[in-house]
Amino acid sequence: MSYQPTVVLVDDHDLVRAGVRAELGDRVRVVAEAADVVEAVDVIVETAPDVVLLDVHLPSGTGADVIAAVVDRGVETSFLALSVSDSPDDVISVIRAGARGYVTKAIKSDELVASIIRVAEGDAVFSPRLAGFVIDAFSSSLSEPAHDDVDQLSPREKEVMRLLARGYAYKEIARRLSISIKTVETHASAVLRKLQLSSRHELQNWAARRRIV
Amino acid sequence: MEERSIPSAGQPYWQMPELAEDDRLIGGVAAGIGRELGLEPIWVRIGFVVLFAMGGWGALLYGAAWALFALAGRHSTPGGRAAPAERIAKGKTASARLAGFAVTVAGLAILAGRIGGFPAEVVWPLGVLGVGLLVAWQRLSGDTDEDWRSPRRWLVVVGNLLVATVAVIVLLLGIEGVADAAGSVLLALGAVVAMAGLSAPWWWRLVRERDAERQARARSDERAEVAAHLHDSVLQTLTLIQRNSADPQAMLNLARRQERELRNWLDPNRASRHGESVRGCLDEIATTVEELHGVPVEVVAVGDCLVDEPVDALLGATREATVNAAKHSGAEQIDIYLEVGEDGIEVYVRDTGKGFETDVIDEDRHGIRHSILARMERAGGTAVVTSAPGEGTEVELRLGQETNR
Repeated sequence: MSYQPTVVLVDDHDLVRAGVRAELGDRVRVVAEAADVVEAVDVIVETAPDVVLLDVHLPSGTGADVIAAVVDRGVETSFLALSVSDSPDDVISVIRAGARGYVTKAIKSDELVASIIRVAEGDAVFSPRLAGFVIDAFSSSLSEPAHDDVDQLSPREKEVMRLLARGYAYKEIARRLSISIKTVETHASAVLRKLQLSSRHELQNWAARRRIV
Repeated sequence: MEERSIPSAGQPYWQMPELAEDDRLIGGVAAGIGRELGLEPIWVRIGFVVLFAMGGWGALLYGAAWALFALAGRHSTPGGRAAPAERIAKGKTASARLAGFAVTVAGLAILAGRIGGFPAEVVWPLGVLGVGLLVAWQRLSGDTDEDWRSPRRWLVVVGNLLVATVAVIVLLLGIEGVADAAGSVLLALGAVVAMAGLSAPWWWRLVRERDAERQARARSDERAEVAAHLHDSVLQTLTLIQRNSADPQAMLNLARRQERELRNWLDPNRASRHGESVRGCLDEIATTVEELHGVPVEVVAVGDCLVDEPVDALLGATREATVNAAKHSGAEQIDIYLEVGEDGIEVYVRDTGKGFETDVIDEDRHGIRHSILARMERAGGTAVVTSAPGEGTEVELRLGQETNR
């Protein structure tokens, strides 16, 4: 493998870091690890890695705090959230803070490496669960018509998200929709951007709405 | 005064009195002396007040005795207090001891009168102020076991605040020239400062203790709930895992089930869905298939609705499809996607296993496909099975709008 992105692991559990590090092997270069928010920000600023694998819950803060602090310090890096949590609040908040994707810790190591490379190249990574949240958040049935185009998904984007939620890989989606993988990636990135910029009520008050449903 | 209410003298010989913390008004000096003397503390207190009236000596003596007793108490061991080098016997009866004490006080008073005291206009306000401060601060700090909200304590604190304020006013009035010119302003200011100074630590403590108490209660409630839950679930599972440690598949299943349970518990929204909603039922299907066949089943759901008859059929077909995938596909994982939308309910069951030729179907497969298709048709829905060798399998189940309430 020619391209070896540099990676920083942020997780408060030593065992998880050790496990992820072992799984990644030499397919990426892990340059540093951190166990809490302050340590993480320092290490990321210092090493400026291609990708930060970020846990959503940390002692003394959240993954979103780390992203905000690093962006504040003007460091260019990509964040991939890696967490056991599957609560929509956690996922949406870390994505809105600027993470390029979200995968659960149950992910297989090949897929994790592929996701890291994808994020390092500036693309978005959607686990089926995240895609499900996105469809839920952008579904129009429960809310007033959207005014802004970042507040709704195009039919094609929705189609891509639904296939992702059904467990399809980018490659399989491309074949099924007879488009190139690059186009699938473009759609995914567009959805990510909307996820981050949208002013939709659902995304801002996710937790509140979930309680009504 | 009745004989029985007078404390006994305890030891027959004189010892150094101890500060009577439990019976004190100020520092416990008078009560301590009273206890050692075998007198009601009130007499000792009267003695101090008399001496205080004689030019302020009472306060000086009180302070000195306080320091002495405190110092002696710190160096003494239990039951071994300081005693004079020569053993001096105490008076035999309470009245004799009281008479002795009264004579002593009278003598000291006469002595004080001869020597002359401190100027009265300074002694009185300072004395009262000092007592007020001492009592207030004593009550505020230290003894946490006494309930600080008891009415008696409130009374003591508020009374002392008033006394101290009056004392400051009197002191200021006593200073020449204050009474006329800027007097009133200074008076008011003095009173405010005295009140604030005295009450600040008390308010602070009051607020702090109330917060601490509330937090502690919330914490202990939460802890009890978590403990109960962990005992029911996680500890049970750990025990089971220890028993089944020879069987990796059983361990995996137990771990997965425990994970699901914990997630449900952590997300109350999920737990409330169980049994009554499509989403809850799908979670249950996933759990049972995982347990029976040892293949992880991931459920992604968008929207939710209540289960009625057609939806029940849909769930039955979903279960068939999931079991089928777990048994035959050889896939490492099965994905279920549910979407409840305006125009119907859709469920996709997908695996990336070995797949099969959809037109070459053995008896077993045929049966399962038949039951899936027939079920969906009876419920007014559709089922589509997509598969090819090496491509995995996807079963698509759909209920239209007319069946979606």
